[in-house]
Amino acid sequence: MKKIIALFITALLLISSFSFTAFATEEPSFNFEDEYTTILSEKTEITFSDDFKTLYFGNDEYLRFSSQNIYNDMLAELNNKIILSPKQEKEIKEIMLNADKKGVLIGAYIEYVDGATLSSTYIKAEYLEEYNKIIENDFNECVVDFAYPEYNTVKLSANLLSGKTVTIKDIEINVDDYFPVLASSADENLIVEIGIVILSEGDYYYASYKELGTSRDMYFIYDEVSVTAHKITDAKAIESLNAAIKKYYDSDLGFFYDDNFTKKISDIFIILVFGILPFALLVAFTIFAIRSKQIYRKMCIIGASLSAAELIVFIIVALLVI
Amino acid sequence: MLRKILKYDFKFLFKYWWIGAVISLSLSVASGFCIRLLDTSLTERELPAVVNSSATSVIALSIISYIAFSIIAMILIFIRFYKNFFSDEGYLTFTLPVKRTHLINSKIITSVIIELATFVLIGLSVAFMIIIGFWEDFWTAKTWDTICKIFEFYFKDHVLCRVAYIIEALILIVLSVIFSNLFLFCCITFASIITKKARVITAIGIYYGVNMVISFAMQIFMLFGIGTITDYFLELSDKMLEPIVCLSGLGIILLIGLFCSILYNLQYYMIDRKLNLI
Repeated sequence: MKKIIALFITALLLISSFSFTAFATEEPSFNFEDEYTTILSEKTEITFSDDFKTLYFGNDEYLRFSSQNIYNDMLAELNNKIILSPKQEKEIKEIMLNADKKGVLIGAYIEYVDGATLSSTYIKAEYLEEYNKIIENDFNECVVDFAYPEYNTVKLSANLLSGKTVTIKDIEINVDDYFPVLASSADENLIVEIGIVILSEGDYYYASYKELGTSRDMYFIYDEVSVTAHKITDAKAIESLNAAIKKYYDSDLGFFYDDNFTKKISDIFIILVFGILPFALLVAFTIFAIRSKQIYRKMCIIGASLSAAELIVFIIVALLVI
Repeated sequence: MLRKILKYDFKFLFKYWWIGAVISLSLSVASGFCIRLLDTSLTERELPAVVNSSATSVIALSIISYIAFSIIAMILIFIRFYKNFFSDEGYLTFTLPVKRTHLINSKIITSVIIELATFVLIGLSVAFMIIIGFWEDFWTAKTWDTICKIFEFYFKDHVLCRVAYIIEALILIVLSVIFSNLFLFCCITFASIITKKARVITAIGIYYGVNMVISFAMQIFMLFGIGTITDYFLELSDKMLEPIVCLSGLGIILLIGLFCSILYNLQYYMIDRKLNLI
């Protein structure tokens, strides 16, 4: 007994040390440092208009706007000096600022003396017009982002997304089978999520937030929601999307979102419990029945008969279902 | 000899079981009247707070009595098993001119009968409570109409399969009771083999340990497997669905029967070869 426990603990230690080594030697593919920096200079002073609708970053003008569909991450903290007017200084307790990597967007969290707060996002003035055009579906190209593995994207031209409109019923949508569609500014510094591509029963559909009357922040597909979308029929586009989907499901995390994954696990479980286990027991009982005498033989014969009967029923059911 | 052993086992169990049965039934009748009393207080006149709270307490007590009765019935079964096999009485039991299989069979048969009787009695108690409590509402044409409609709906199609479901369900209940009792018997026997002191605690520890492993496996199956099994069945045509579900039920019965057979073999082997009461 002690030997068995010792062996078990040794095996456990070996497995855990192996796993740790494997993880430790694996190089991280995501450089966190990059995402927390911005090209905006720390030395530049920041001011606000009286109504806080405009932010001045040195000589650059940033306008407050509705940022519901912005895809850029604003992870860089701005520690620049903020110069407020005397009136603003009386009212404002604290302002915290953050920005995206390319310096296109600045986020402000303003805390007032009376306890009120205000969260605003400012966009560089020259990008606002482009943003409004993209929101109105005026773009030439977009990208479907499959997230895993990294850079798993498919480029589509806008005309491929304006196919026949259909309504996808709620039961035909899997909550894990939709992916964001992104359009960007000409210089690709501003990225906007304009809709989603849905995979439903082998077909691809594009649903735009504008047509759905919603936005990125507000829209989630639940199993009980029907969606009106455009069917994608271009063969090349479908081929690219299929390849990307395959890469997604074959990746470490996408693997868990594949319907086939749960099916495979349950198939293995069913075959194990209803097929392999009774078969193993049938063999074991038969061997024991041959080697035993008297009462033990009778009991083993009963056990073997039950195993055999269960195996036969399972095979019949499996054949009928398949 | 089996009949004699059964007689003594029943005598022991029934000595205490009937007390729980009488208490449950009387409390259920009392709570039925209390429900009527509370119902009257809502619709016609207000009763004193003491009467109200007493009536509510009786109803609560009757529900507690059902739970306590079912637990006590189970405990009685295991006490009988333990005392008859592993205490001083065990020396006498194993010197009787009786087969080991008869000893085990007697325990299984009495445990199944007592547990099923407890289940039926609790069901009757609840029924009495509802019938007495809602006497006027219960004995109306609408109630019987509803019951008839349920039967009609259930036996509308595939009558043979529907009857088979009921039979399979009853067999499954009996097999589940046998399995759970045999499992605990095996834990008690195993604990008695591996330790001379603190047998009961060891048995409980083994029971919960193995139960945790089985529950973990079942949870994984429920997480991944159940949805897929229903998908498989939903893809079948209406004609094929019911017979296949019937066959699957039979498969599950055979599987549980197989597990019961394993536990029985184990139990017999431990009692026959491994037990040392010295």
